[in-house]
Amino acid sequence: VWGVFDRTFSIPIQIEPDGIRAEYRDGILALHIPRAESQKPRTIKIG
Amino acid sequence: MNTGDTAMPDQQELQVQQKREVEKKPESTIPARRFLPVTDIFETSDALKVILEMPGVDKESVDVRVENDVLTIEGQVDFTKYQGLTPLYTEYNVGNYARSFELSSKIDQERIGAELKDGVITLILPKAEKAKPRKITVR
Repeated sequence: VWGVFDRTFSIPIQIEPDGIRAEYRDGILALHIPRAESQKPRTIKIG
Repeated sequence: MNTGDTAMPDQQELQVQQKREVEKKPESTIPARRFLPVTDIFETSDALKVILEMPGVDKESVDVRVENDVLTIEGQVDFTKYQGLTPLYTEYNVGNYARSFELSSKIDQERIGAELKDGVITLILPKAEKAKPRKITVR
């Protein structure tokens, strides 16, 4: 069987669209989608 | 007008095909899963074309051999690129591939050819001369 592949995802977090990297090799597509700065875990110092 | 829920979705969802795990005969000594590659077989007048999907397998990690009239295809996947990753959601199980086919005497085992591109391996199994259809002249 042959045809076209199509898939859409909705991402539940803020991402950095300009930072998305895609790599295709041997029939596997890998996407690296970075979190937006505002979504990154941070440490809050207790003063 | 009836506004009941008779509306059918006009677009059918693609079904995810479940990968089948290889039924082990000899037990494995490697702690990795092995799957049956999804396969299509086509027949032409002079050969059988066997197409197997083995995503993630490159030329260096595929092994095709014929032993005791059995054609065996094995593909190893590089697990290192998954190391350190925590799965959040998985549909596609990572594992090696293995599948065997019994060859009839109609296949010329000396001339089997294989080609791997984009994780899809294509095997050409030429028919033996004696197995090809022929026309007999009536005298």
